Amino acid sequence: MSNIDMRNRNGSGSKIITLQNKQPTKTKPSGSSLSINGLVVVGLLLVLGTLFAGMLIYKLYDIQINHHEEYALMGSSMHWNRIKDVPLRGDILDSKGNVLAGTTYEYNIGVTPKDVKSLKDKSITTEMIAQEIASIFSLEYTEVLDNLNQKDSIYVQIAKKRPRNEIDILKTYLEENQIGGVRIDPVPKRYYVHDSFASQVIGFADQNDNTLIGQYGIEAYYNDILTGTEGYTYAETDRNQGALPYSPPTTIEKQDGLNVVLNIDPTIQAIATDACREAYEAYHPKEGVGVIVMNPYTGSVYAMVSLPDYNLNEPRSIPYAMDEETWALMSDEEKTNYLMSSVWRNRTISDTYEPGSTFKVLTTAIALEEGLTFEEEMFSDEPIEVSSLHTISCWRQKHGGNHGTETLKQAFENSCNPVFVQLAMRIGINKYYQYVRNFGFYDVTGIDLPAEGLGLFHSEPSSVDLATLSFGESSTVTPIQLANVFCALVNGGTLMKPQVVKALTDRNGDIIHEFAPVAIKTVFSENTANRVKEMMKSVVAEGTGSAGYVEGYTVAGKTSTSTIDIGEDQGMHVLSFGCYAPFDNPQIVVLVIINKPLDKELGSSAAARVAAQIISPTLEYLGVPRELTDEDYEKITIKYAIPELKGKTVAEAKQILYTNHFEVILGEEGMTDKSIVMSVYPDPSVSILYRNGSVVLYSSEIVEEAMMRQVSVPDFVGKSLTDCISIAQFAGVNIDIVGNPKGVVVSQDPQYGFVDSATPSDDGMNTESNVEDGESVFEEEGSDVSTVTPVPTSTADQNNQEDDGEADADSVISTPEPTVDLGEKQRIKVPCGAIIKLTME
Amino acid sequence: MSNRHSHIEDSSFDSRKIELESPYRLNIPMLLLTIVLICYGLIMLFSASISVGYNKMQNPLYFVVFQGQMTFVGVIFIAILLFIPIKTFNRISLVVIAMSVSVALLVYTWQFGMALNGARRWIEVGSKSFQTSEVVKVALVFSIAGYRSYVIRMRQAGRLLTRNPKWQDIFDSFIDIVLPVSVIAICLLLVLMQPHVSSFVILSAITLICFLVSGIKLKSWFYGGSILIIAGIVLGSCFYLVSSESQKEKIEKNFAHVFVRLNIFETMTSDDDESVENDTQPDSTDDSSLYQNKQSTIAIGSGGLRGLGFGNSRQKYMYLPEAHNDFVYSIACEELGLIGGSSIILLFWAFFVGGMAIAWRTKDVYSRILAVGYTSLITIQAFLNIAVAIGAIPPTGVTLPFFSAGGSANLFFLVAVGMILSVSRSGVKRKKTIIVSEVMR
Repeated sequence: MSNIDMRNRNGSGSKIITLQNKQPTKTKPSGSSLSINGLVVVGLLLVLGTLFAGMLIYKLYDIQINHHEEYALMGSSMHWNRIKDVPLRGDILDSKGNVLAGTTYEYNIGVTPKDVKSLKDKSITTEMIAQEIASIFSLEYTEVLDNLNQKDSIYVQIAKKRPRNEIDILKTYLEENQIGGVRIDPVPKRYYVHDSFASQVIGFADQNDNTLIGQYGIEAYYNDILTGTEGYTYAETDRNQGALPYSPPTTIEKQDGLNVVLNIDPTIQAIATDACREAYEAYHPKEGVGVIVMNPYTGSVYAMVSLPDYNLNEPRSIPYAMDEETWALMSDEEKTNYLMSSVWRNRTISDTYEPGSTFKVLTTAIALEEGLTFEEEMFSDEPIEVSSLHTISCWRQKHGGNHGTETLKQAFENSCNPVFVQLAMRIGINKYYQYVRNFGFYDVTGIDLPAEGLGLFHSEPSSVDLATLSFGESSTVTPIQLANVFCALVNGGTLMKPQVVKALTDRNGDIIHEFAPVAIKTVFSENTANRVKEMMKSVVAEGTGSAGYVEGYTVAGKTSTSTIDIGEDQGMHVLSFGCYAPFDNPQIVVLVIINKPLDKELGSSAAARVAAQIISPTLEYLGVPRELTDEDYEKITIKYAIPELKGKTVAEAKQILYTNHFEVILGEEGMTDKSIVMSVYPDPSVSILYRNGSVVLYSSEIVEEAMMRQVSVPDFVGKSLTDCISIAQFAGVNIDIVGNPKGVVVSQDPQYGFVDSATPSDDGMNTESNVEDGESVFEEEGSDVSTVTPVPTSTADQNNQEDDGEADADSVISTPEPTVDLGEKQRIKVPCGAIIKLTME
Repeated sequence: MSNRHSHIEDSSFDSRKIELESPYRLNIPMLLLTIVLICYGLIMLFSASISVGYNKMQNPLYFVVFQGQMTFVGVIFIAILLFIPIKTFNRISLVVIAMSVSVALLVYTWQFGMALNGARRWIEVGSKSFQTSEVVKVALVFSIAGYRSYVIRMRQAGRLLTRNPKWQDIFDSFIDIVLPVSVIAICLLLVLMQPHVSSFVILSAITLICFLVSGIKLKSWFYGGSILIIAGIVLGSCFYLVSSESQKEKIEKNFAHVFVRLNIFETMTSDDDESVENDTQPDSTDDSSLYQNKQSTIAIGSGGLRGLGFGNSRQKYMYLPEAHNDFVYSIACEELGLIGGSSIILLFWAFFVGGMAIAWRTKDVYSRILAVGYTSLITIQAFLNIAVAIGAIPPTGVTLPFFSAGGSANLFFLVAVGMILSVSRSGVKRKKTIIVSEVMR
């Protein structure tokens, strides 16, 4: 009763005594003993707890007050981050403003495995999620599941570079089931609209750390302009670099890349590509085919083809004209080597070759410029001994003949070497090489493409070097160097800087910078240029370049066949043809190089033929009117015999026909280069065809016309001769002109029109057959074909590449005849390659 | 006075003295303290878990909403417990049930539990998972209290006597120490095997504290302790001899992370290099250790005296892993500074003092063990967590009661608080009031 508190609680006077009781004494079991007093323990705990709390507060004070600045600084340096703002890469456009290369996005998908679960439905297992993801991205289920089970990992990549549509499906699925832990990162990707179109010019860009870096071509050369400038935001961020709203960020705006507009003309590029592919497939040249088409006045590059080429969207996949089996057997390293040395490389600017006779143009020009000769001067072509080891003679000597004495002009037409050695000797080493240097052969041209090669020229030339260079041997040039000098010759003597890019535009298409033509220097006088041009004209008209003849347009040029004298390729040739057209009003300069065709007997006319195939449609496309002379009509109507082809392989037949100026059509599906030709239509023993006539090859014995590929008869009535030729080529038939070729067609046999089912025609036409009609897809166009310009589209381009080695591109396009037309509205048909008689007045 | 229930003892009536025993009265300060801690905890969790919730669950409020729901359930539990006199629970049958459930849960976890990063500590209930050791913590205190109370009742009733008095001390030590410790040791072993060292340590500490306050004779401590040590050595060496090499390796591997943690901590104090170490990654004994510690210290240090202001933490944006869980305290310190940080320590300290004050006034062993046990449990958890956050001890993976996300654990803490409050109401000695009547009849 120690603490008694007595108070008066109320008025009535009752007292309340509050007692603090002591612990009630316990009755201990037999014999009391000491025990630990619970209250002592409680007290001890109180002291301990208080001490601990004090220690915690002290430590907290130490960190928060004493070391505050230190940690605040560490925090800030971690929270403030520079966030990159990646600019959009500019597009690459052709001269007509069509997009050739653009940028899109693809997506990488990664997961944080332990967070991948449905918040909505617990019954959705990891297995089900893995199943779904695997089916969306066509992945191995087990692989996805393994990835999702790596619970310790913070990030596991599930799929890379996936297109938008797959991502949309995934997103819908994730949102519906509230599945977390999946990260989708967009990465920029370059796409190329026309796959292999101008592949070496455009080049490709690889994705590297969220930016695209150009590897070849324009993509590489204009990489900085296309890329633009990165922007930065300096801000407080979360750990994933997302900006936080607490403090205003400092921002440096990004600048998007500019668009690059090329001088490359889509139509001319397509024409040139098609012509090159045809030649490539005929000759399989070891070092490819290269073509440059330029505007001689501005140095603009209209077209630039280098074969083999490749699909820009899949630069590492099988390239053009590569045998699939061979490709499959190659190791990755071999593949890369092949791609880098032969495919990605732009041969027209990186390869060097001996220019050969095309260089005689320059030798002649120098001599004329210096007034050391004139066109009608007489020369002897006897062999010249330039040193004890070297004797230079005319190519004809090999065949046991010679040209005897001839004028300079004739020597030029005949490409007779000793004459040019004489000219060079007259000019003298110093002066000659001074000119050569002046033409820019010791320098790159400065074309706006990367990896421009530099030819080999002697720094201290001897007289042997001089003699051999006079006809283009023992020194090498790049195709672009030579084409550029040809341009100078054509435009009256001014050397221009070759230019692939026309202008730079911004996102809205407004021009930011236009590349004006840059004249480097004058290298010929106009007079000299004109005199050399005149001689070049006669090369095509009367000399070695006759294969370069184009009806209606005057082509002037110079052929060249340079021989490889050493190394494993000894005996192989580089065939080239440099030319321009039309003669009177030059629009384009074309240089064709067929580098080391497998057939060592092949002459330079092969290159001239490619040029002719390019010039004809290109000038038509450029709107240059054809002017047919009497001579032209005569040439057009000359007929040629079809060579014997039975028993040869398709590849051999193609080469023979191509060299003989015939078009090849494969009559059956599934024919390859290795198939043996069993039948030819029209029959070579009885038929002769015009130049560029169509010859159909069959790999099986054809006994009657009904078994052949059928095509509809086009309407020729009212058309002129040149129109008829294009229509016939397009439709895959031949023509035979009766009457005056300068007039128009008044009648044709067989007729154009529809077969009346009541009166079947007795032309042997297969009216009721609905066999696959190879050309039916062109039918409608064929009926008003007068407007047809053989402008190959880029899709044809694409087909060509994909179907290489399988069948000729033309023959693959086959659509079954629509059955509704059967009966009354059946077009009159003939076998493909049939000769249609046209009467003209 | 009017609202008091008075109990008038007949004997004193005659002597004109009325002895009144004060009625059951709730410890209001303790209740208020609990409410403050719950609210404070929810508010800080809201701020700390926004970023984690958004990033991991696509819902910034995910953690705080779940926490709120569980808190609500817990508060209902508290409210119910308040109206039940604490002696209602003092039955040996409930002890048997509680221990059976604990062992069953632990065995179930051991066999079928959800493994995460090499540790099997969770079992799944519906769409959620919870750590069984949290239940065991609450059940253990409850059981020790019930058991001790039962033993004392038996002894008072003259039971539990040996025929030969010589053996009485040994028998008492068996009843007092050996038997209960053996049963608890089973639980502890199961927890250790999960492995969950921090829970093991807390459970051991709580057990010791509960035994210390339960009035066990010194002789029992001595005999029982000796028996247990001998038994432990014998069993341990038997196990060592019987078990295969691979089993040993497995065990070593299981506890490797503990030693690594300790090692890391030693190096960390001398050098602030980066490392990751947290509860959900017990096996990450890797080079990326220490990251969490560093991030936590940066968070706390950036706070300064007044902090960056509520909601303005930067470290919670994925820099500090487990910002919503083991490191809520660091975020609180970053946002509210020394003022906020020390206020949390002081609140828990006040809770501790309040709980111990209740224990001081308890009327029997049962209530005292409950009050001391549960108060210690919550305070030890809190102080350990804070010590980890400020880098005073190596990371242990102990959550901060009322603050850390983890709804189920919080629910059990609230039950514990309910028990404390119940004890404060019905388990303490009541004041006796003697009214000496001067009213003349």
